[in-house]
Amino acid sequence: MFEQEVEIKNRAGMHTRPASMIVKVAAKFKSEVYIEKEGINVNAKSIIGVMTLAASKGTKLTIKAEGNDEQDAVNAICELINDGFGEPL
Amino acid sequence: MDLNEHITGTYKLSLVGIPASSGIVIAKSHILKTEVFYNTQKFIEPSEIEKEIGKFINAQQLLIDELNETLEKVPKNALDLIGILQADLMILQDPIFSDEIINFIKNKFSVESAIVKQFETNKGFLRRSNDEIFKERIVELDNIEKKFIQILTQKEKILDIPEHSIIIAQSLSPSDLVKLLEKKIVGFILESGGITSHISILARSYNLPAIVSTNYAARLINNNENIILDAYSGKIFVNPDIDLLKFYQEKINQIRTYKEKLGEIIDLPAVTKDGKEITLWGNVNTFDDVKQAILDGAKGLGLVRTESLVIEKGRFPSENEQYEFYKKICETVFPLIVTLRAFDVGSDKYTDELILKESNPALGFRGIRFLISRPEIFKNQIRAILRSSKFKNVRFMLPMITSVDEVMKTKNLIEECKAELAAKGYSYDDNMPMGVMIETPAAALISDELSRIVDFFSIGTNDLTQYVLAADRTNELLSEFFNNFHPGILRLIDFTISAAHKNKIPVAVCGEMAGHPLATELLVGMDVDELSMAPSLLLEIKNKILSLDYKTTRQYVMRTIKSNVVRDIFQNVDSNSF
Repeated sequence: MFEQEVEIKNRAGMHTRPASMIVKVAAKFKSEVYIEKEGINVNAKSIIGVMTLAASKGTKLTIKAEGNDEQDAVNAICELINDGFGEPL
Repeated sequence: MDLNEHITGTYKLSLVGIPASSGIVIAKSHILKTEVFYNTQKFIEPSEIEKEIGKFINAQQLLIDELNETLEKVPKNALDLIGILQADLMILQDPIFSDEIINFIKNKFSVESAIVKQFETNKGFLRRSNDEIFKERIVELDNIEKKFIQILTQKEKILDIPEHSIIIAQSLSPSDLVKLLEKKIVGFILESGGITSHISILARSYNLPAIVSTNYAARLINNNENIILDAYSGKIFVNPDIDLLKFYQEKINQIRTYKEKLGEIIDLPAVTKDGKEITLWGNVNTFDDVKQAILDGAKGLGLVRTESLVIEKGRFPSENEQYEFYKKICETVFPLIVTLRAFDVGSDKYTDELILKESNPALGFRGIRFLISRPEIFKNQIRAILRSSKFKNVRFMLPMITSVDEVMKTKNLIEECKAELAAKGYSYDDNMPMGVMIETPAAALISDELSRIVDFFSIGTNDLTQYVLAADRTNELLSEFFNNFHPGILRLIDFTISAAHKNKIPVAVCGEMAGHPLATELLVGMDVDELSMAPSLLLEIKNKILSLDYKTTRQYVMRTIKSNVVRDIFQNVDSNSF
C-alpha cells in the first residue's frame, strides 16, 4: 500500500471534468486506487464516487493504491491534482 | 438603447426565474412531461432477481447507445457539450456504481428502487457540501436517474414537438437538449437548475435564451400558449395582451437593430494587431446598466458602484436587501466576473446624520475610512457580498485605501463574517478575490506592499488625478489643471502597474481614462490588463485596441512618460498615428 496527501488547488474544485480526468488516469493502472476525504474512501475508478466527494479548493485528500504499480498510480493522480487539472487556481 | 424594467400591457400569468442565457423570444409553449411516478420501496421475490438485473443492464446499455448516438451528432467544435456528454457517459459506465445497484437488486430491491436508492446515497454527499458548484451537480445526477426510470417505465420521449417552440420542463439533460435543437426550439424554461448547471452552460454556448429555477413553470403553463421569455431580466409572460406583445416585439427589434449597428466587432476579443489581449469590462450602477454591458459585449463587470443602492434608498440597505441585488447581478452575468466595490460614501455622495458635514469631503471621512469605523454597516455588506459569491464569480474591492493596515483590518472582518455565515449554513466562495482601488497617491506609492496582500488592483484615475495634482475635480476654475495625461499621473500609473506585475497580480483601470480613446494606447503600452468603462464606450475602445500594435505602443509610452511638459504629451497623443 502506497499513499500520499494532496490538496485541491483549482478554484472550482474537483467537479465533473476533473473527476472524469482522475478516473481516466486511475483506469490506466492495475492497482486498486482509493481517495480518502475526512475518513470517507471512494474508488478512484468510479466517477460518481470521485465527484460526490465534493472536494472544493483547499480540501486535503489522501490518495492510496495497492498493487504492482501502486506508486506510479498515486504519483500520477497527485500530479493531476497539483496541476489544478489545468484550470485556473 | 432602453432596456428598462418598465413594461406596458397585461398578461394572464407572469413568472420569474433566473436568467441562464440572455435574449428575448416570443413563441408558443411546449410542455415536456418528464416526471414519473413510481414506488421507491418496491421489493421482489428471489426468483425475480436475475430478470430484474437483466432489466437494469438493458436500460444501461440503451442509455449508453443513446448517448453515443447523440455524441456523433454534436459538432466537433462544441467542446463544452462534448465534455459534458462524455462525463455523463462515464457515469453510466461507472463499474462501481453498477455493482452497487446490482447488489441492491440481489437484496431484493426492484430495479427502480435500487437505482433511486443508489442515486440518493450519492446525492446525499453532494447535498451536504457547502459549495454551491457541487450542490448544482445534483441536477446532473437527477437527470441520469430520471432517464433510467423513463426507460424502465417507457415514458414519453422527445418526438412530436412542433418546431420553434419554447420548451417548458421540470428539467432537461444535455442529450435532451441536442434532440430539442434538432426541433429548432427557440428557448427553454426549467423548474430546476441553476446558473452553473450543465444545461445552462450549454444554453449559453448555443446562444439559446433560457430561464431556469422557475417554480412550477411546467405545471402553471399549458401547451400552445403564447410566451414572452425575457432572459435579460428572468421574466416570463404567459398569454400577453396585444400591448405587451407590441412592447416586446419593439424591444426585440431595437435589440436587433442595435446589434446590427454594432456589427461584427461585438463578438471579437479586444486584441492588438500583435496579439496582446486587453480585457474590457463594464462599470455599472444599476441593473439596467448590467444588461447594457452584456449587450455591448463586456467580458465582465470591473466596477459595480454599490453605493447607488444607498443613494436610492436614502439609507444603508440591510444584508438581505443587498444580497438580493448582488445575487441578481451575479446570476445574470455568470460566468462573467463581477467586481463589487464596497460602499464609497462620503459627505459629498451621501448625507446623513452618520456623516458630518465636512468642509472638504474629497479629503474627508469616506470610503474605507468610514466603513472601518462603522463595522456593523461594513459587515452587513461583507456578508451580503460573500453570500452572493457562492458561484465563484465575485471579486470584492475596497475604495479609498491609503494603508496596508486598512486592508488587514478588512481581512479580519471578512474572516469574522465567513465564520458567522458558516455557522448559519450559508455557502460562499472561501477564496473570493479581494482587491483595492488605487486612487490615492499613498496607495500608488505603497503599491509594492499592497500587491503582496491583495489579489488585484483597480486604478481610479479621476480621484488619483485630483489628489496628485491638488485640483478639485468639481471646481470649474481648475479644469485646465485637471489633466489625466499629466506626466506625474502617467508615471504613478506606470509605477503601480510595475509593482503589481512584479507580484503577479492583474491591474485594471476603471476611471474616465479607461474609456478615453486618446488614453487607450498609453494604458495598453503601460501593460494594463483590464479596462473598465461605461458600457456605451466599450466598442469604441475595442476598435481602438484592434488598431494598435502593442510593441510600437510600448516604445511610444516609454518616451511619453519621460516627457516633462503637459503640452508635449497632448501633442504626442494627438499626432501619434500608428
